[in-house]
Amino acid sequence: MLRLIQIECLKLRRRKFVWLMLLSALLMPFFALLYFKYVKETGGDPLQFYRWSAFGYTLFFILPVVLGTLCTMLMYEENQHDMLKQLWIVPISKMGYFFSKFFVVLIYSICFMLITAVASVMFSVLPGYVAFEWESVLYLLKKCLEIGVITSFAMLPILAIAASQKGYILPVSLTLVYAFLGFILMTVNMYIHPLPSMAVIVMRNGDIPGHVFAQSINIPFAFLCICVWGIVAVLLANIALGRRK
Amino acid sequence: MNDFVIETKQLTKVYGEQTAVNSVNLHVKKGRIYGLLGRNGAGKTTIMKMILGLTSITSGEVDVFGKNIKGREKRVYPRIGAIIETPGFYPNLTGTENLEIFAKLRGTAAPHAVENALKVVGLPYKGKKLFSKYSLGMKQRLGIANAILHDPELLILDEPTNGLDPIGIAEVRDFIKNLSVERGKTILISSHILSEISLLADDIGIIDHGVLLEESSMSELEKKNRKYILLQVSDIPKASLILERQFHLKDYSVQDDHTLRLYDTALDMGEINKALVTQNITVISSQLCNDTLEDYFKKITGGEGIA
Repeated sequence: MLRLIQIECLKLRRRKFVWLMLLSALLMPFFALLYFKYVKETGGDPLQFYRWSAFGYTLFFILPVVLGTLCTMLMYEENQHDMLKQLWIVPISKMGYFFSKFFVVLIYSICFMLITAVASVMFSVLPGYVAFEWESVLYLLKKCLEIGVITSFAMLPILAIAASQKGYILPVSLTLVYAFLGFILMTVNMYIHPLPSMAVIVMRNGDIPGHVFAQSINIPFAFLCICVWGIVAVLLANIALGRRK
Repeated sequence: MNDFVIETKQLTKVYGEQTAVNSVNLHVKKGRIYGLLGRNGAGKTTIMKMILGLTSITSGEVDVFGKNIKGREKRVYPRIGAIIETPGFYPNLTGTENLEIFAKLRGTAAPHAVENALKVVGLPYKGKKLFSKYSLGMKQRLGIANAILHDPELLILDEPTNGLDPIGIAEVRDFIKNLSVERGKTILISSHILSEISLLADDIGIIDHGVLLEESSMSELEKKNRKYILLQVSDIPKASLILERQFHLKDYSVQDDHTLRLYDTALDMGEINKALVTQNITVISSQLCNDTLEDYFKKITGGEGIA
């Protein structure tokens, strides 16, 4: 599996868009910087800054959309250029292939959130909006890692759909629907969609200001939701890849 | 234990209501080049895909290296190198980078495997040109390089000369021949180009509409293509009568209103001409002919020729 993951990384050579997408990790920290510059006062609570820079739109929209796009890109070329038959002849197992893509998404997701964390600290501490505290920085890193890991699992359905499609329009469109639906369902039922369930796990202690849940927090339910969707996604990918010869 | 590297038994593939491959019994012998000849859509690629586990088998069996292939046989496939249809590679990578990926996937241990494979097909090692900028011929060459990268015992090549220029075709043909003669590789090659197969193959299988019409060695096939005398005369019934009565000839066929084929080529044409002219039959022409493979292909497929 490690070899397959290394090979997946080699395939990303010269794919500038994959690396450019990482820049979107700076988006919310930058907006948080502007927000604090013009609206908020200095010397505030670091969590207030991080809520804007890392735990807000990054968690609900930016990261899922970026990961969905990445999932599509990872699957698109091999599907589009009819490469799967070459890979099956090697032979590579369908699930080995699928999970190697997933691990790339996982690593990317973690890197994305680490960039967000570093940018959040820099954009908050350097202008002097918040005071540097190891405790809050470590808290931010911990939460960012959690978001990075769990969101990649929550994106398994999109990866499976990308595996089943030759084109990129449907997976990218579904990514947008998936992300928005997750946000809407957050206020209805947090345990039927993996993205709200991910948010429940990340914000389980209720220590991130400004987030109010519609239901009581139930961590097993949240994990169950992500697991069920993940298993369904893996089964779908298995069937889809079996047909794509 | 037979010496067939590939053996299919009543191999059948049905897509919906269309039978793409119908009860094909294919026998590819070790160390030989087997040419699968047929028109586009005859079922050649489907047979190869079934052998490689790329498409499911509706009925029948495939044995490769004596092992029955039921799904994707992981022990067998590392011993095979293949090109099926147009080879696809990563467009954002160079030829060398693409082959390095496949070498890693296969766990190819040979240190210069990529370099050697590229050298064999005449592509530059460490060239900077991306695969997306390759010509069709270069893509095909890279596909062949990928197929031989891990030094497989069996090569399955689906129309490998597609898109190559005449010099490229000759180079690939020589290279394939060398692989068989010098390195003892078994090769199953498909083509719709008769001349390609006739120049390359030791054994030939002719497939049409999913049915394997003929399977024999090239030498046997050449023997079957009989020599004959083509005789054009003014009056066929009268000429036939003379040939039968005077020359006791029975092995002949009537082609049209003025043409006869005499399969006994030892006949004295001078005597025949003389006899016919004496009986007031005009002899328009008489010549010794030999059926080409194309004629034979037309005959057994009951249709048009092949390129």
